[in-house]
Amino acid sequence: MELQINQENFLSGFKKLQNVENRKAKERSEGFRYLHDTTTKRLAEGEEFKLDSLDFSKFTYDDLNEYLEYYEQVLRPRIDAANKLFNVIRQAGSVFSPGKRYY
Amino acid sequence: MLKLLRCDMPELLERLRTIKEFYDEGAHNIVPFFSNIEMDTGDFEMLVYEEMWSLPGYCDNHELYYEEENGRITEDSEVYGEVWTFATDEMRDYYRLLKELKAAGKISGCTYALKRNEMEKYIQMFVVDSQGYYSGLYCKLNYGRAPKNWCCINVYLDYSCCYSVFAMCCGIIAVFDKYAEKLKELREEFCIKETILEAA
Repeated sequence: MELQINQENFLSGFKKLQNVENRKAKERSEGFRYLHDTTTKRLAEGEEFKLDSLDFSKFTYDDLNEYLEYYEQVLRPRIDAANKLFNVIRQAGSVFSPGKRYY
Repeated sequence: MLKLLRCDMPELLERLRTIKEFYDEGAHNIVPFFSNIEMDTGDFEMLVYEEMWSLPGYCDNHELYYEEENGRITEDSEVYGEVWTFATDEMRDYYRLLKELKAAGKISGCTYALKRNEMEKYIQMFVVDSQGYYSGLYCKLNYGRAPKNWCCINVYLDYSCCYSVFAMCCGIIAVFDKYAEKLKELREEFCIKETILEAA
């Protein structure tokens, strides 16, 4: 099987909110969008997560529950797949590293 | 991208959910307290434990030992847990004001008891019940003795059971924010009204 890494496409899935079967991205609440922008999107852009950058009055408890569900359903499978891929690359790197003669 | 892959997002979101729960209960000091702690790490509970000394109202922390057969604690006694003591000026002022209002006849004995019970319920809800299925934590509200009547909250942690120091810290912050809120309400209801009447 041939694997292709396209970093831009992969990351855009985390930067932009995705449509889910019964729910379009633009239908999401402001609080939901705010959570996405300050957590996942921020990390996908290579920035650190900072708690004090989060304004807890800008989202509701329900927004947070909805976002957790969205993360589990939509983003987690992608993260898991990417982690598997990176592990394969890391292992391959340790075998074929020019400095090593294990191969 | 690596930051995204290294971060355990479901854990992070769960922690944010706990913080949000307490924030909505009026614990606005909760965000500043956790701001200096790395949230997206597996060592989170340990990092929180290291910061417990900077919790609002922290007074004391010491270990608890099993007594020897003769009922004494010696160098060889085994540690089984620890106790944390917390108290704030607002908490002490709250009970002092309640007593003064009762003594001055401005509130009835029934109202006095109700207000004391109300705070006990908050402590139970925020500190103990927030532990969920963990059972290694219990706490006691100590009203103190005359003449100083210095009340405090003692939190006992049992090493042989499980507990969440994160939930405990959230609870303690929420409790003291509640004391500050209730003290303000009490002052507004009785003290400010009285000052206006005296001025008139």
